[in-house]
Amino acid sequence: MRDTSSPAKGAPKPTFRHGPRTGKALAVVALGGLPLWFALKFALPSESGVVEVVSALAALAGVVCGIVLFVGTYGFWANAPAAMLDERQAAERDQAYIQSFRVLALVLLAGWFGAEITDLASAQVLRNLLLVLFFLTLILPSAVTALRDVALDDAD
Amino acid sequence: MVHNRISLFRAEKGLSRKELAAAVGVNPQTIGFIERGDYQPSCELALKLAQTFGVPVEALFSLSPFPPLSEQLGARSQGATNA
Repeated sequence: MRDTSSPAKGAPKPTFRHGPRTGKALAVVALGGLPLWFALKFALPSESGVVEVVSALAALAGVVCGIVLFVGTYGFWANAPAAMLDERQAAERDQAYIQSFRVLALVLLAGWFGAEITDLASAQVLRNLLLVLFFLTLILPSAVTALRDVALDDAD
Repeated sequence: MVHNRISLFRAEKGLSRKELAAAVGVNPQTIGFIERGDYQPSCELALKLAQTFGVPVEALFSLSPFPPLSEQLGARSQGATNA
């Protein structure tokens, strides 16, 4: 009978290990970076050099933190097969995917609504929005897992 | 809600969370979550925990809160005196 409470023995490990605090910080920067880039590109004049630099830095920080998060503890947790997680981790991961789905549905709805009621949604704006959505889709389960994780005192 | 006294049994056996987690094959954090009542283990994990401590599962988990240890000891010594 398959053991559903324990992770598989000899399972692969994440490339980077980080604790809940680091995971939360990475998740916040990763989730904020590209949306901030999108907002700056959308709302502020692109001729401004300062805005270009700030938006590029936001995008870069978001992408780098997203990649680190994705290949680290929480990305592993969010993407590993159930056999590599214990039952609590698997349940947490399931909850993270449900919440990610809801967030993505809301963002998509907001994007569609914004495009419907304004004349500002040019092809470039929609391309940028799709890029943000693609990135969010990749990292959101890992980010939600990190944000939901609670640090427990391991001392006995 | 399911109440448990895993921390009591763990302390009695002198096991750390890590050791208990290794014995039942879960992450040490999961033991902490169960002890705090933040996670309700599956039947399978509850049985493994009971097996590790060598007690029936009802000794570890209960639907009603466990009485304090001092109360239980008091009741037991009272019973011994009466007998």
